[in-house]
Amino acid sequence: MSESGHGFFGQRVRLERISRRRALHMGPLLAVFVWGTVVLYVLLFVPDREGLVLCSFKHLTGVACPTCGGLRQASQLMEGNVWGAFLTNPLLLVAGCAVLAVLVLRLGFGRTLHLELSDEARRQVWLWAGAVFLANWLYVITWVG
Amino acid sequence: MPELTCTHCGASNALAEDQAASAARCIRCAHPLDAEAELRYYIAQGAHIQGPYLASRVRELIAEQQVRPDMQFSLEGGAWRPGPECPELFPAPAAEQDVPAPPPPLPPPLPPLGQVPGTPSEEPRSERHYSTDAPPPTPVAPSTQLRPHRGTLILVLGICSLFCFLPGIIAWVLANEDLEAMKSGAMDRSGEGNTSAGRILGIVGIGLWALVTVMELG
Repeated sequence: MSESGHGFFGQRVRLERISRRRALHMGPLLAVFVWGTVVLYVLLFVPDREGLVLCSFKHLTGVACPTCGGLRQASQLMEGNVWGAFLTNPLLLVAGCAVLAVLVLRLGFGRTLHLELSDEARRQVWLWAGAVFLANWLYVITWVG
Repeated sequence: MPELTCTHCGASNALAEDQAASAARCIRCAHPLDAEAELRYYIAQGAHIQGPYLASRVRELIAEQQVRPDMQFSLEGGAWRPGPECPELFPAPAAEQDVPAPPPPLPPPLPPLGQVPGTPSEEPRSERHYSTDAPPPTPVAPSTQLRPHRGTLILVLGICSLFCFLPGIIAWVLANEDLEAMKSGAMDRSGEGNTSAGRILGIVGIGLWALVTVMELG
């Protein structure tokens, strides 16, 4: 159900109420939990992490993938170095915060955000998102490795 | 010859041996005979007709007071009925069922259905101009009210997940939601194949990541 109080046709942003059943995705949540556990295990119990590569893309091609640097980022965050974590993979940190906000919105408040864009606005958003994604990937390949 | 009683009007419907109940409709009120199927309504306000909307959507619009009992309602292919004659949409309170209420004062003229008051009129989505005396059209084209699918995006994310972990999670979540929306009739079903494929690729990608991790740590 729409929360913003305007008509449902003309809205650009809608905060929609969703059921708990829809808010919970057990499979992906379990995968994220396993991923978090592995990252925590590596950070806590694997002292020599220099040669560790958990990315199949890097294994195959030797080139960093757009999300490479996650382990180093988590390590920096655990040390309280937010700026260092940001420099490791800027887009990954921003995307991670956005995903966390969505999770809190869904699981904590039972709401989901809907963006309704015109075709032109949607095209612009995709163009900018693609450009930012490629720029971030180039940065990761060049500076982070 | 199998017979099915309409859950909406109680009419008895004889089905041919080779006729599937899931596709059949009541001969009297055009209500789907399959109990699982959700009703779709056209809504008329004066000469403006919009729809079809799923019954659940109509109830939401009623709750938001965008749809009122003084409007006319029609099931797909059925006769027009005012709100009070649609108890499935406007259930009468138990205390008021026996005592007829005095007629309410006429409401002020409403903007066209779906238009936000005070905002410029937007391009109508599925607005048609017919007389409410005439039977409603038999809709065959998919409703323009359906949300567009994100099959291509999910498929791309699924393919990316073969190399990275994160896109797999996003593809999996989006695909779960979209497949549910398609099942409930709220989203365009033409992207169902891509959505399902993206979901499977996302799961496979996450599995691959788990394999690489085990090999690397092992």
